[in-house]
Amino acid sequence: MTGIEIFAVSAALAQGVEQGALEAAGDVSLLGLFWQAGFIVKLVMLGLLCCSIWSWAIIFDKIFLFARTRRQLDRFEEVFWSGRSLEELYRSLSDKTPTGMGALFVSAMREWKKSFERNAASPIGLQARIEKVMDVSLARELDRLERRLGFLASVGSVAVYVGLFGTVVGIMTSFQAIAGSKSTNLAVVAPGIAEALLATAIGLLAAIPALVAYNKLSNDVAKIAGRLEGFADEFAAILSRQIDERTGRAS
Amino acid sequence: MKLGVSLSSAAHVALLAWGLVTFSAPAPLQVADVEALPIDIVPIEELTKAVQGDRKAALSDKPAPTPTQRPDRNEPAEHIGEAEKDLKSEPEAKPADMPVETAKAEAPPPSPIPTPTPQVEPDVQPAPEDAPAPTTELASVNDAAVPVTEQPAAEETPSADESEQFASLENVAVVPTKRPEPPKPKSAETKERKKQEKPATTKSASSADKKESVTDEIASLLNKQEPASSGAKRSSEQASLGTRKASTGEKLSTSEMDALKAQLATCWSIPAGAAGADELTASVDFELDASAQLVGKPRVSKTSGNAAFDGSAVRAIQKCNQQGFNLPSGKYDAWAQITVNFDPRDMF
Repeated sequence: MTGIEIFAVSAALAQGVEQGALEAAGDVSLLGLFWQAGFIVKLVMLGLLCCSIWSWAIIFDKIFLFARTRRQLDRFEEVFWSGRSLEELYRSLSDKTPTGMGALFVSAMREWKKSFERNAASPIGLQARIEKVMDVSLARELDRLERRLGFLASVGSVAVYVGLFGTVVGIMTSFQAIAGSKSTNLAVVAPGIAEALLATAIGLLAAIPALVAYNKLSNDVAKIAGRLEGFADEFAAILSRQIDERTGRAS
Repeated sequence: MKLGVSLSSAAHVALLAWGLVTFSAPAPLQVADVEALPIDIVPIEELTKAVQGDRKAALSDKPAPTPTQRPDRNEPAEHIGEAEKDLKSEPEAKPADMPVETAKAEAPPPSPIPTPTPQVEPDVQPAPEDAPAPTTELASVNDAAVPVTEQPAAEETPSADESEQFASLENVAVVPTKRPEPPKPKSAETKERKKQEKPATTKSASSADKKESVTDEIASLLNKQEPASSGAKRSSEQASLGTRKASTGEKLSTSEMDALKAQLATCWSIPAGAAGADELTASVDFELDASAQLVGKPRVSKTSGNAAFDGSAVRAIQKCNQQGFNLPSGKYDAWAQITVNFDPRDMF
């Protein structure tokens, strides 16, 4: 929304041009402004547009991903605490590639099973191994969730400057044109400035949503990570109890 | 990810399309045609400039009859009659001319003897009665022309006894002294005087009568008032509101005064250590000539009570005088005499 407002500002500036001068100065429509711009400004505008498209793609992607992840977590927790046997749950999950808590659960159960299959179930070593395995899969899960969020952060902080760069270059060229034409008429100055400001507008258009989204999404990631860690700790505790029970029975 | 990319692209395309539609033809800003107003900057003095007029009269469009210039005069009261230039004659001598006038025809001869006669005068003051004698008789003139000594001149006077009428003119005793002038009497004489003199000569007026006319003459000579009048008073037009005296309106404007003060401030060094120096103020009058050079010494018109402070103000003016004052050259009247308030709070 803010980006649109800024568009409006630049358009309002373009409106300052008088009708008579308008014809002489050329097109002040969006496309006209873009085509009048110099090469560098065009490049900046296109780059920023691509950034905007990509960052919005990431935003949509992450929003869907996080929604999906939350749903999965809820479902898994429901299943996990429903009292089903862990073996059964493991069997149902291991044939597909699970994500989130499922991934943690599967990795931990796999390690548990392997240890008992090979008779290497020393109580302390097994517990340490299970925790390690769960840490690794937790890190992998978080990495999957956080992927590309860095791009949003970069766009949020850099796009403004890139747009400003385009504006400065555009204004420079337009002032050079003024110096060439030896006229300070507003009609001569305005289109150049409007076109240059378009670069800043696009920069802001890209940066603002990216920055807002980055803050929100990284917050979401932190929440999901918290839930996963909580589950990992709980599951580690359960397994540790199981290990102690088994070793106690065995001895 | 594909979903995100496609969604994002679609959103951007939609936004751009909307932008193209919305911003393709921005409504031109309607700028009202504002006519440029010519502005004159008028110094306030021009409005406050008082004009000569009647203080009780109503304000009229035409301020007041324009005062006319006084005519130039060559030298006060030296004119004789209508003569434009004053003649070198001394006023006292004038009465003496009258008898010469009377002697019109006979007069010319005596001219050769200008020198001897004056010499006679101091010696023989009572002799004046005789003086006219030479004018009457040609013979005596010839006599006088030959002997240049005093003695013959004295002797001549008795010989001229015949002219009894002139004997009575004791007051006109000086006549002989100014003899040299008569040769060209017409240029010097005025018609007026001729009128006065004519009767006197023809009637051989009584001594008393003559006396009166002479005193009148002297009185008129002493009365040096010029006939010229100021034109404004003569004007038949209705006077307008104004001041009794016409002011030129030439005053230093505030900015000009400030400029002068600023200049003086640079020249001014307040005596260090004067107690409460920033509380002191002194007014100093000074006069400038047309080339903005100080005339005389600046005079402290309102002392600060601190001699060192007053002295510093005077020195500031003198120092600035060496640099030359920054004053508008066209307004000499305004700065011929200036009073400056030396106030540290004001000037620094």
